[in-house]
Amino acid sequence: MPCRAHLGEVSDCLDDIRAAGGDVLVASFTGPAKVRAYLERHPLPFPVVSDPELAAYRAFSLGRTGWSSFFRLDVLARYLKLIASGWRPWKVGEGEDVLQLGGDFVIDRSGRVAYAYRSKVATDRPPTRELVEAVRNAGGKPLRE
Amino acid sequence: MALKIGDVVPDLTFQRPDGSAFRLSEVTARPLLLIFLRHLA
Repeated sequence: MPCRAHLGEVSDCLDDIRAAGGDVLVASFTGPAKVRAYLERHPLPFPVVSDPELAAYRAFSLGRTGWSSFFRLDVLARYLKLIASGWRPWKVGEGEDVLQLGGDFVIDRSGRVAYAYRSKVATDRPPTRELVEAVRNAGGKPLRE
Repeated sequence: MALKIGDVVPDLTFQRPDGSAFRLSEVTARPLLLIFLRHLA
């Protein structure tokens, strides 16, 4: 799903993530000035940091999609569903790579990768319940003791 | 080489919205969900 929609879903389950002992950090290849402007209009309940050189994206081996993937029926259907629910696409900033894919990772207390999900197409994100479970399994506090 | 489950994540440096440096090690005292965006759109 588009990133803003994914961030909305993660925001909705932030209490569960924190109750499981975890935190959230969002990384964007958008430069810091544009991130700051975005957050002034759309505050988020977790920090957002920039990686304009894509060094971290490369470290996590996040790939790029192809234009043809935007015409896949499942991708189109997801975008249409989001548009019907009020989501509107934003203009991508100059120099930003619209084909760059994202991903979701959980890093445990020892600094090791405990969970990895690399998006395969633009709308591909893991379900938030899977992310909460991954945080819980990574050494966070269980929801029920 | 792709980071795999169990691999130690390098102490990557990002930029905060104010332009200052932010190191990943600043936030790994607790399990961290790290989300890489495609873009802010």
